[in-house]
Amino acid sequence: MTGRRGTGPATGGTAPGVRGRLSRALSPATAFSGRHQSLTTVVTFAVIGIILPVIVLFPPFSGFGTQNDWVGGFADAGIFVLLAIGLNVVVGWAGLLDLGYAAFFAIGSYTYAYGASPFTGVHIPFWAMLPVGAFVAAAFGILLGAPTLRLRGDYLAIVTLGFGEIVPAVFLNASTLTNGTNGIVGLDQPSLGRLFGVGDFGFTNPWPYFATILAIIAVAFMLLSRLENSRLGRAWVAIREDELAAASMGINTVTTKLLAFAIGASTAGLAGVYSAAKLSIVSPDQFNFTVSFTVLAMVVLGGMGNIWGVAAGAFLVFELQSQGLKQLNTFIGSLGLPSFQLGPITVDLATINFLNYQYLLYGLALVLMMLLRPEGLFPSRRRRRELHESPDEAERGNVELSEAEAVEP
Amino acid sequence: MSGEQRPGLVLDARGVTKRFGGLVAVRAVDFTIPSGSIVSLIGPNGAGKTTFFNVIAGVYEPSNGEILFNGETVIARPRRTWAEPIYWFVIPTILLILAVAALLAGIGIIGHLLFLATLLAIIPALIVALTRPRWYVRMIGRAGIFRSSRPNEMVSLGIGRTFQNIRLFGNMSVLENVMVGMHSRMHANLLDAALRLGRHRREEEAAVRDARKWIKYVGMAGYENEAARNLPYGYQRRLEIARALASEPKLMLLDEPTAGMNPVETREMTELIARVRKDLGITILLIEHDMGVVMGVSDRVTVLDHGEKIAEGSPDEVRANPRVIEAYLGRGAASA
Repeated sequence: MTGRRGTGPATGGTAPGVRGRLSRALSPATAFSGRHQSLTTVVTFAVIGIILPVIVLFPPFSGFGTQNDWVGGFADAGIFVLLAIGLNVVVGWAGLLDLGYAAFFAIGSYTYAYGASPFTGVHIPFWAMLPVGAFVAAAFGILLGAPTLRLRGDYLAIVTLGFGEIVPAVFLNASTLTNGTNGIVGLDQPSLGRLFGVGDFGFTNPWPYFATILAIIAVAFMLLSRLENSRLGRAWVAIREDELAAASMGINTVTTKLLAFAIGASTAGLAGVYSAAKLSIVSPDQFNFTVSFTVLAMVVLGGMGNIWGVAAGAFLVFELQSQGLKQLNTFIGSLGLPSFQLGPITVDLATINFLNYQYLLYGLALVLMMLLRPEGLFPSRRRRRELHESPDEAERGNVELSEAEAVEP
Repeated sequence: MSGEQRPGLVLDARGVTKRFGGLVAVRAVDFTIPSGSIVSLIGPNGAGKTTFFNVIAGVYEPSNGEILFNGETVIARPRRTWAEPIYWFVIPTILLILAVAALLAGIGIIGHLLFLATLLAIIPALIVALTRPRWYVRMIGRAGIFRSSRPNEMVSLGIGRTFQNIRLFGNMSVLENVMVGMHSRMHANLLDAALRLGRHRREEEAAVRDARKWIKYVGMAGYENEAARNLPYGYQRRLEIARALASEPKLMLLDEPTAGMNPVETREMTELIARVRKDLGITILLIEHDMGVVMGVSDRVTVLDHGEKIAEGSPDEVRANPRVIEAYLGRGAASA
């Protein structure tokens, strides 16, 4: 175990050698990013915003699609990054398992549909709808949170699962208000007016969307990582660790848990508004259980509790499923493997569409991950501590215990 | 509520009873703690000590009786715990019902606009509920809905506690554990933290300073960044005390602070307890099995057996009390 951990990313730790030297070399940078957290976030996202579109100009990525295709894909991936860092607040920090997260995504989307579409005849600008969507989703986050305050673990998960099913069902069946299955179409495009000469974002140019989602994520990141290192963030972790002890230390568990729900939901609300505006349509089938599940899988794979890890996990998973699987199809097809007989079945790898096996592969990835690296790809310090206690520490504990037993009369 | 109270009492429990189904864990116990004293609660296993303790800490609600802290009734029956979810629900739910009604009554665009407007009206209500919980509670209280008092409210009043089976936040560092203990003495809210106002920064810096002070006070300087779960057993017990001290309590409840310790650790812990009272003037209620600790440090000892108070007095009086000997050693030992 220890050996493999030593080869992991340089997140600082106990293993000496390469990682130790690396973290020493990086220590001025770490110190700077610790002091100027928000500045670091902004700079990092600016760099990501420049590097990502450039990288896809080079092989092998350039062979998979044009730069515009890639940038459009990144703009979609951003939705899931935003959802994942929001769910991380609820699941990773406060430790409340939420299986109905897509509900808040739906509420954000429908809020935009009501606020900026021919359906209601109201046309509020996209930029104003962003905070409105966040607030409305937060309000519903609290409404969902309130009845679940006395529930823990499995029971909470079931209730949130129910809520996640109810919300799309309501949007589906209240057809006079929501247009039912057809959804609400022709939502307003985001627009910058005459600024930068962009005007309406339109459907063909992915760049404004890319810039917008990058900015939204950067702001969300900044606010969330500030919360992580505050009185509230500590209270969330304390509740996750031991709710009774947290309450006995003066933490109002009710408000603190509700705030986790509200903040997680508001992030999903932002993602909802953006996604509705980008697609220009909302319909109930965009928000079924698979969305909640996908986002949860992203959080778990990325590394629960570590906001950067979760974001990276979401991005990787999204790109793997949208680009990776497609390329796998083409790649295996191009190998020209002969089909072979497996009992009564003829297996022809060249004709398999891996996109159809997306959830199978998810499942496999999750099973492997839980067996090999349960703390996720980029774990938070605390999770790693929780899941990997090094043997010498365990021994130390035993020694203490046996000493204590020895002296007891 | 009965406000009259003998002077100099930090805590005054009157007729506290706690039933779990058919089992009476604590039966009509009257119990007082004079200001500045160290009072011990002893009794055989299963005598109801920890239950009584949890009633004072606000974890269990008493089936009967009331508890006064500094002359004010803080816990009394009935507490309406079921009202709690409702109280977060009431105003938003009423607004939602209004919205749906307006939607059904209104026609077309006007209905939709009303719906949207009402959704927006929920938001201020919820913001008030979250940012000014006490104000909201009082408002709701006027409408006739009461709510329970919870452990966290006892902490804000000035009652700190430790646990019999250590309950630290294992994966947080020592420093973070103590900073969580300061929660009720800090005031930064969501906006302060999100916008990183100067107030928030100053408070955080002061909190780190104070936390280090408490860690040093219990003799653990140098362990600030260690994960709590990796600490040796004796240090975990000390950290629990540091964490409780950080909430600046007037009364500290210590549940078997020397359980499972060797004689050296026990002596150090006893000294620490005596020091807390002497330096900080904190009143202490102690549950303990180790008679050496109890007799050495307590001003007064109360004995519980089968949920009832069977003796009370100075350590020497209690030691000589035949009922106490009987409870611990059986009838034969008492008569011998």
